[in-house]
Amino acid sequence: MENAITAGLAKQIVLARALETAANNVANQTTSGFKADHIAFREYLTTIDARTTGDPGVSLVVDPDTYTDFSAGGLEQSYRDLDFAIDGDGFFAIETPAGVRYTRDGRFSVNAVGELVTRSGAQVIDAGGSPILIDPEAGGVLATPDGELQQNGTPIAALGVYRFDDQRQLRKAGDNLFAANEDPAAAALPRVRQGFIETSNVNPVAAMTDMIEIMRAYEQAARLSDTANELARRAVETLSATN
Amino acid sequence: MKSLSIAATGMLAQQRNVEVISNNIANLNTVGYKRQRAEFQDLLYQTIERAGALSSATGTTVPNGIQIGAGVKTGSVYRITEQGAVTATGNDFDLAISGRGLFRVELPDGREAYTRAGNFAISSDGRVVTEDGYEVLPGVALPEDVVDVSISDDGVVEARIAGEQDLREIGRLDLVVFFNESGLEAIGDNLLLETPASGEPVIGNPGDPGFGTVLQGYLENANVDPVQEITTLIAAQRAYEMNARVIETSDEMLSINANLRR
Repeated sequence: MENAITAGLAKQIVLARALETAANNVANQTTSGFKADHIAFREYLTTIDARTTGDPGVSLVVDPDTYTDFSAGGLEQSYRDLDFAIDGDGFFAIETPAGVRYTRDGRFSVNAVGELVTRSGAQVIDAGGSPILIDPEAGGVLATPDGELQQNGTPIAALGVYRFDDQRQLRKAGDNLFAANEDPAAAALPRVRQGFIETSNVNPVAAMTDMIEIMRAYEQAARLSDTANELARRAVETLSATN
Repeated sequence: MKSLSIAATGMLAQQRNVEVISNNIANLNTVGYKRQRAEFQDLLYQTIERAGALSSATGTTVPNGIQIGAGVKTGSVYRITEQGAVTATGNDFDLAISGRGLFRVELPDGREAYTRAGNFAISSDGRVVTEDGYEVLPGVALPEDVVDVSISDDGVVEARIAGEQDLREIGRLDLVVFFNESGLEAIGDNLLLETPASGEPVIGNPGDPGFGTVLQGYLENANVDPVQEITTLIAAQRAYEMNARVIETSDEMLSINANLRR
């Protein structure tokens, strides 16, 4: 009987977390370069009873992973010189106090000393790993499709576009940044679009239907606990009424 | 239930988005206005189970781990300084800047402010001033009996005096550029102030390398594109609604819990 309640409870815990993930996706549907998260459910077989009673055990649900959907978002034209989007695989590299971080959010600007920086003020680094300096008096910045920045026709730097063999090892670090465990390689043929930003890849319709599904499943799980509780109550009533 | 607060951050962000859009639309006809854009970033992530943690006694590991986000924040409201279209007005003291640069204006308290709005006028003592009567730096004073004033592309102000044949040079307007023009602080009245983020002002003459030129008899329109603003507004409204639905769903799930034990 406790097993039924435990199974229902395990499901409710997992579903509450699934809703948090869905809520975060919905909240970030207009965040540039945002990648949606999903939660993976697994069956977890309790084996404690199996050894003593031969009972196969209770199957519970657990959520060992959230995983990030790295599919590309849409490209939206912004008409701004220092907005960049990567068309295809890869990430821009950002030097933060905590180390190098990676992002698909290419809304950059120039700081008070002429360095190309993110909105949080962290330096954008080039293909060689050094900061990118822009001369304000040399006119507008033009980016070639492979990410080379030019002013007045003179190349000044190349935007670093890095790719990972295994994107699953990336962890989200907030501020649209990802932290990596392993070093990336420079992307072989990067395609950078100037004047575009990558929109969030959250699909609002899917997020809504996910949410409905989560809620209905939550209801069912609650009913399971409810039913188990009801059975226990009846058992007590029936058995105590014998004499 | 954390999803309540996550959705609340989403609603707040969209509210900020609508505020920025409405300010852009309200300033559709403001001379020299630069549109703004609210930009969002995801908030911190809570790592519940680290990637690489053991998932069984036989040594298998969790490939990804659980990361739950805390919602969204408004990273910045960014001023987009792209050139606005120009409209011909025929007025001698309507000046538009084509390209980079801002006019310098002296505030009544002595500080210097910067503006792209070139709808200037003449004060009672013959000085070139803004609509609010603040002097345009470096200061141009018109002599008496001026018939006509001409301002060249590179900012030289020449006046024709009654009874004289030739134009007389009476001053020169200069422009100022910043490393990071978007980092200037707006103080209303189309005026901007220097901040640590903008960098030091660099003064130069119109037409110098890196500086724009001055167009006499034109005004720069706001660079707001109404169609773009309205589509962003629609998207913001839908996003707001969806966040509200998340709150509703969380609430229903909580109420299921509350009614669990009958």
